[in-house]
Amino acid sequence: MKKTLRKIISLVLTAGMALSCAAFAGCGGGSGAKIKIGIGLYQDQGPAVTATREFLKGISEELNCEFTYVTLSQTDEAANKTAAQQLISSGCKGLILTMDSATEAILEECEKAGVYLGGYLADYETSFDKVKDNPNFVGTVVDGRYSGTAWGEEIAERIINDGYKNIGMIKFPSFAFPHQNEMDAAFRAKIEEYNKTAADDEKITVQAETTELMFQPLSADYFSANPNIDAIFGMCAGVDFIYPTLTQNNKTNIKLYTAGFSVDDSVLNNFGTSGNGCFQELVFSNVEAIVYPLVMLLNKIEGKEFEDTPSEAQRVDSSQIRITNNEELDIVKEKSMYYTGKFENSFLTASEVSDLLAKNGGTHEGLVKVVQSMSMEDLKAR
Amino acid sequence: MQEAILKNKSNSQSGFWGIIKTHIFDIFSVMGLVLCVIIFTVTSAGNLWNAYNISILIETVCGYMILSLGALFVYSMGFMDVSVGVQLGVYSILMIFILNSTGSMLLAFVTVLVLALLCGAFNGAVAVWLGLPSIVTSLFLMFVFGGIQYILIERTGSNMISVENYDISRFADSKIMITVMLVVGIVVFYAFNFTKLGKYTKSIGANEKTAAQCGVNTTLWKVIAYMMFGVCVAIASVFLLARTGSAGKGTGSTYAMDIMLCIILGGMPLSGGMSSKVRCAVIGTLTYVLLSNGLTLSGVDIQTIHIIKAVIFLCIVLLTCRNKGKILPR
Repeated sequence: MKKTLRKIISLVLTAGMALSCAAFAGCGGGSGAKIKIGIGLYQDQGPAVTATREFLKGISEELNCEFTYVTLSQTDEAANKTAAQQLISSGCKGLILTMDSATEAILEECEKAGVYLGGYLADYETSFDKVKDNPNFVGTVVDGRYSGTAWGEEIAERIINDGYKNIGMIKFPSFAFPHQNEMDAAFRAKIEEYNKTAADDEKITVQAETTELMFQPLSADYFSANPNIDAIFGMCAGVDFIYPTLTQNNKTNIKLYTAGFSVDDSVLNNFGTSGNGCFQELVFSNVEAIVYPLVMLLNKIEGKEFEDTPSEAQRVDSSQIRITNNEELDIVKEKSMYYTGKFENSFLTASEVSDLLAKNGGTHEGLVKVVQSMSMEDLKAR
Repeated sequence: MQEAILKNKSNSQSGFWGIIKTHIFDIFSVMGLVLCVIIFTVTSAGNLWNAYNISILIETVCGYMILSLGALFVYSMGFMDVSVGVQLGVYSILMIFILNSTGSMLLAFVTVLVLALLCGAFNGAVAVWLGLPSIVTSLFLMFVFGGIQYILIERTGSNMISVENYDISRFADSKIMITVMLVVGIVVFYAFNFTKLGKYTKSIGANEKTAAQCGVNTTLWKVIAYMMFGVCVAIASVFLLARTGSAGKGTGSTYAMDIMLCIILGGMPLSGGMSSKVRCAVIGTLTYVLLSNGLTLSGVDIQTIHIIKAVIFLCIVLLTCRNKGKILPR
């Protein structure tokens, strides 16, 4: 009886699988002459993924494109090469990847197949110098600014103005995020400069040695080692790696200035003056920045390049949304596609993206300007 | 009357339905592979069989096939080795270090081979000496190798390391890959079907106590079986490295589970035993690689791919789990 039951369950599941497979395959079919672009993201779900997919869906008709998605591994090069190969096999003419992993091997595959590669919210730190001259590499748009100096200084200024005196410093390891060292140094330099002229009781103490998180949440021991801190500069993704530890140890009185964002209410309800007020600054990059590699790819595929196309592939900064107070958070909730996941909230309409193409009179300079004009000020002005 | 029933039963076992019943898992596994080929040929709009895709299928199959063939000896005993993924990662990194400093592929391979053999011996022997399930020793190795992999990469100051002074891509040539797969396949086929190694490992899987009472030195053959797998791990690490010419903290991490899936998809029972066959590894590997490749080529959504793989895994486990004890690998 049990054996029969097992067989019945298996057959039902197999039939269901075959039907869903056929249904999904059917969805991708009948695309005609659409240009197929493969998108490799390092996550398969979450607000950034939803917003990216919605944005691309919104512009696909106008650009005559269709998009296929794969999830990349953050640490396994062979898996990423396989993912890229499968995208090429499925007929993709261009690839947009968020991971700089096995990039040279993937570019070799692209060259063999006549496919182009672009980067999205990644600085391609490891491979950029080796691949920037490759004709199949169209460049990358960085997750914010390539140099971390400016944000480090901006946070230092905020902390000085907000009046916090004992600052904790937390970042990811240097081998993975080397530019967080620049952030760290710029922050310290700014605070040091302030301390030179500040009265003794106004001086700011910064944690002597920055804590490095090995992609694990902050340890509770941190508070024993740093008992007096009243604010933390979390250069890493503090929403996921620092805030849970603050909550678990009843330390939400410590203010958190950090990179990253979440659409989760447990975060947003504790921002600024709301809730426990732990979060004082959140930062995220706009998914619309994907237009940089996308337009560069489409130009290459259609054989029509910008008149001012640079001689080598570029690593382009993108503007970020910095949320520093409740009013700005409300604006993000109302107007940002990252939060709403709706294409109607996008910074760009489909026809505006189409106008960026070389065949429609676009220029490289114009394209760069667009991806660098999506700041909080731009959001407020919309 | 009783004789008549027995005779009737015997006839029915040797008849058409008897053959079907005896070979039910083989039939399911072959049907699975055929089904994958048919479905994906249609849904991928022919992309499955274009020259480029065939070359990447060979490239992907090579590593999995060599590992699955080696794993056959371990799985046929009803055991498993969850350290194989991190072992592959560490071996790839070590080979890069050796190649970059000496340029000698032979030295790199021999070093890795010796390490793999030692790990095999450790997995097979220590579990017996300490009276532990062999999965515990392989878990121990997994943690140790995972730590070593992390430290080795961290010491480079980067999140990955590449081969600089040697053209490792020569091993990514389809002809070389096919040749090596064939050679390994022939050796494993012979060892598994015509030598004591294959017979004893299957006997251990079927009933270890009986095998021991029949005079089989089970400890010795367990060690040899794990070492045989070690040889295959060393060979596979060369081809894994040849794919990208680089390695990082996560290189190889998914292989332990992937190999288990390959073997199970081939119709091999988790509990090993006499129904373990070389074709389980061959058919399972081809099915697994085709499944991953075909689903992506067919434009199936990422989340759906995960669900489909999980469903297939569940189906196979339900179908192949033996009634008697329903034991998982020890």
